Amino acid sequence: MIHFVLLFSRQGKVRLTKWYSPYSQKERTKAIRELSGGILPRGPKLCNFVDWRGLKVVYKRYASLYFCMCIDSEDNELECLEIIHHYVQILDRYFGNVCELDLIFNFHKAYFILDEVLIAGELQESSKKSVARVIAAQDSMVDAAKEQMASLSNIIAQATR
Amino acid sequence: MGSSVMESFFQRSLDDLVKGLRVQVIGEARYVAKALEETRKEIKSTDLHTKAVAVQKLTYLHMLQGLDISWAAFHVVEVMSSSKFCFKKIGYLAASQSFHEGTEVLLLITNLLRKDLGSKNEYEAGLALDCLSRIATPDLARDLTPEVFTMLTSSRLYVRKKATLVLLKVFSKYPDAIRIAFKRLVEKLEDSDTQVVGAAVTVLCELAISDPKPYLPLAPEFYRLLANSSNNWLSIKLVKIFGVLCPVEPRLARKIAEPICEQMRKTGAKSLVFECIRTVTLGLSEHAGAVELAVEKLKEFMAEEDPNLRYLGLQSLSPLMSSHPWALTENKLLIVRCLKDADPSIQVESLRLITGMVSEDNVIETVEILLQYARSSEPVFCNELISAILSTCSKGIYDLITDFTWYVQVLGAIARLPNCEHEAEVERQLVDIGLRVKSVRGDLLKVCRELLMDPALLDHAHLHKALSAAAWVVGEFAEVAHDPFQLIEALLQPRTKLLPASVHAVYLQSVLKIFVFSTHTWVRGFVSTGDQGGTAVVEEEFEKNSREGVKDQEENLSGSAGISSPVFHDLNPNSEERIDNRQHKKPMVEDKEGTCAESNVHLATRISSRLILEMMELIRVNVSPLLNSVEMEVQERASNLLGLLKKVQEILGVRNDKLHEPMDIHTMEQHSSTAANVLAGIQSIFSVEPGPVSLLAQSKVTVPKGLDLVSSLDELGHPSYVDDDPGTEKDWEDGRFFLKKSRDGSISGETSSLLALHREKHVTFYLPNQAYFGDSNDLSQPLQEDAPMLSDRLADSLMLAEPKPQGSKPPQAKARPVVIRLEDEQEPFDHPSKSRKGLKVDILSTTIREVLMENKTKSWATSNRRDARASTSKHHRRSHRSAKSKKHERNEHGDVVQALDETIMSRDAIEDDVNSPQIGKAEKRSDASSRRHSKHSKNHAQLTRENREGMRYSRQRARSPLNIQPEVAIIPDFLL
Repeated sequence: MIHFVLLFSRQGKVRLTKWYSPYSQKERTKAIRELSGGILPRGPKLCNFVDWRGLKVVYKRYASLYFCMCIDSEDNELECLEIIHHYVQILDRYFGNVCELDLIFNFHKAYFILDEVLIAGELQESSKKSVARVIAAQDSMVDAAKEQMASLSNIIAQATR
Repeated sequence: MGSSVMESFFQRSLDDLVKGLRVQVIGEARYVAKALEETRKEIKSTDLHTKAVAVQKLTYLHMLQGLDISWAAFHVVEVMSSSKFCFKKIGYLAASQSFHEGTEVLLLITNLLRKDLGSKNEYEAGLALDCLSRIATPDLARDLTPEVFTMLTSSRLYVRKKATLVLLKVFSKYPDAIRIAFKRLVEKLEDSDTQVVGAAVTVLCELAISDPKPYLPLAPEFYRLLANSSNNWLSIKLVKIFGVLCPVEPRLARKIAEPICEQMRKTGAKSLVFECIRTVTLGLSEHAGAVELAVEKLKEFMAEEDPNLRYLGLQSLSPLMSSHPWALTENKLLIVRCLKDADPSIQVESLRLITGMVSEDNVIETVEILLQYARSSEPVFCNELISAILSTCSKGIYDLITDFTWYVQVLGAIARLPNCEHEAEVERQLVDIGLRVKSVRGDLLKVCRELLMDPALLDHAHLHKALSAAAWVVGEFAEVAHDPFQLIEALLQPRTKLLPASVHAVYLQSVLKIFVFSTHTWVRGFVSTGDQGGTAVVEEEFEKNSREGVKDQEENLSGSAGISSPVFHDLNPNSEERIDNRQHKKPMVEDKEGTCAESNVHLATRISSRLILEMMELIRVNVSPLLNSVEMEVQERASNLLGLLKKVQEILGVRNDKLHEPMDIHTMEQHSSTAANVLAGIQSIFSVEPGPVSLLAQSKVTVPKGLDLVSSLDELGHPSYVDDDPGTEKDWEDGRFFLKKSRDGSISGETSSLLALHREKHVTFYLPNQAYFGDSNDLSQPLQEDAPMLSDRLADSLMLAEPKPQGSKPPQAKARPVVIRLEDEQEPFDHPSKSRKGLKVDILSTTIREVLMENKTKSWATSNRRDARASTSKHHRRSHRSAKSKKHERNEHGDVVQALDETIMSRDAIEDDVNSPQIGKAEKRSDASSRRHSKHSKNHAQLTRENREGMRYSRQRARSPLNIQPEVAIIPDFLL
């Protein structure tokens, strides 16, 4: 299973963290520091796997972002790379040519999308289309709720004025 | 920026926060602190919108900086419980990011989660499931299991899929949930939607990895899925499951080999191919065809441009190392090429494979290659290479090495590598080989000489240990040296002052040994050329002379300037020991003298009197300054050396001021016979050969009478001598003890008797031998009767007397030289077998086993459902019948039935552990659904009907007669 997902920039700034196994805040900070320190200096011609505390970390760089996933030693590294790619493609489709800024300003959306791709550290949906559909449906629900509120608050505001 | 009035009206949105963070000029930490302060206020707002935005901002800061936001947990729960989906989502995100087992509000959200899990809105249910999968505690998992269980059969695909995967988390937190939900999980394997099937397979795969055995009965189902799978994600999981099942059930491997090969051939997805390869290497290594195909694919991997594939290719080869060595040798070129890969992980993998391939035939070739790479590699990998060479070659007792001449040269080369960090191991092996392999000593000496001769090497701190070993070797095995003078010159070169004291001391000791050896050889050249009886005479006389000699030494040298008398106090006990040694080891000494007499005489002709004279002068000039060394060890060795030198010079009549005078040489030669006695005696001290010591040697020594090895040493306590005085111990620790006593003026007497007092008090911890503790006059007497016997025994057990012709050159023959191996010696390099990491706690797998046993009874041979309504008595009849039919069957499919019996037996064993009331409960709960399930498993029943009865189940039936339809679950014939 996937123990955690990490996204950080080339400068080592954290962009997303998702922990599927229990890690205390201290361990989380330490893991992020160790991994970004270990992965960032690696050149482009090296393999995408790093051994880390008996587990394996699979990472892939997309533009200025590093996507890392930590998996068990008996898991399939290539499959994990494909999961990363799968996620990136979905992000790309959702944001339309995704870039780091998209994830910075919509960090919660990156999480929502990740939650549709993975659950409990396992891949839950291998179809990009279904993920896109589900996300779109939820977005429209959010929008509807907001609209409703906006109109309500308008009403209230008008009423109190 | 807005004024303070405006701020209260307009909250900063998440976008504002992020933007502000990016352009802040006051420093990130301060900015975050400010933002945090702001949100603290906002989060208390009664307006849900304001609260939600505050929570969202907190989540962001939490992610960014790892801030602790547990203080906001209650507000998060408030946002979670909002009926508005947009807020709920924000709340759930914050919860799943920041809540953990210790969060107190977890107790409050059970009902909230329950409500949302049952929500009509599938996305709300999805949020709750997501959150549960992140924050589940045993309590939450227990309380919410019924909800998750219900969701498994939801008509909405989205919910069904998520619920299935969340089971994994629920099971790990609350193993009892398996009793309830496992059957439904298995049903999901036949779900109409492939995503749900995938989810179920994923969960089963994770469970099977931690404990494969219970899932064997599901093999046919997996087999069917694999055959029909068109989804690579699913295929990977299925292949992985077979990878863990096959080692448990070899017959399954036979069945599955072909389909796996089929997958490998037809798929283009590297990840699937890789999974197949892994399954073949782990579980199908018996199937030549499959292995060949896998190796073929691995070869493709290793030849790829993609470093990932190269790395994985190498990694997957290692399981084949022992079972299919040909797979490695076939690809040796590819593997060796990876040694110079840009990627360190690939280098390390290929090195691991290469060391795994090393055999007696290719060790030289391989090590040469590794050494060559070591010279040109980065420091880190260079040391990996060195450590690989050292550990491979010394494996066992240098089992792989036949040509030690070559190997000691390799050691020399390794020591010289500028990045070498394994000097301690080089040191150990140089000495070890010197002790164990007699025939290689000549070459070993050459290698060591080269190391010692090079002044440049003294600069490098990392070489000091190797140099120390080299110095020891040349001193110890001086008899095979060709040029003792050069050795001494090398050992005394000025740059030796750069050495640490411990190493420098070894250098000086070696000088002493070489000096004694050469002068002795020279003297023998005069005294007993061709006279074999000479040694005996010398030894006889020695005993008489040595004591006088020692006294002489004392008289002469205590007066001489620069040498303090304590040195000789130090020497005295040594000489006693030497005498003893000589007495006890007499046979050995003679043996050694005899064997090397020839080479010594040969050498003696080359040691001229002038050379000896020069040697003495060289030592005197170079060692004298060391008498002022600040390092005590160096100073002491130097005084020993000089003291001995002066004594020898005196006997020989050499005076330092009249160097090189021919007359001097003449007197020297005249006095040589006198010196012979002394020198022979000293030489004999050094001629006792040390041998390798087994770590278990001590166990061979019989425990002396009266020595108590059982009592705890703790009783020994502090070395306080007056236990009645409560203040003593503290005084001792504080150091006040001495002050107090010195005031009394009685300290000197007290301290000298401390040891005696201590011994009196704790006599059990001391050896009973009086000789150790007698007063100093007794020291000159030989040890008591039993002591020599003990040391003889020790010597016997430590050394393997191997009469061997000793030559300065190793024999040219192909045969491996004799390597001393102690009988009880074990391989020092232990390679622990890699153990699979247990994924979950034991309790989980036990529960699964229990449940599967029940489950199997239902899902596998459910044709019995028809009989389920029958009465208990009927059951008994049936069990009789089937027992009979089983007997009959044994003749037809003996093999299958036998396996079946084994299964029953092992299951019986497990069953005994099972808590029976629990089973009954679980049965009741799932009974309804199993009935529903009965229809579709009829096909299986067709296959398994004949094989299904087991005695165990009749017993179980008696416990809960109505619910249970017990059958033996088996792997249907078509798979076996």
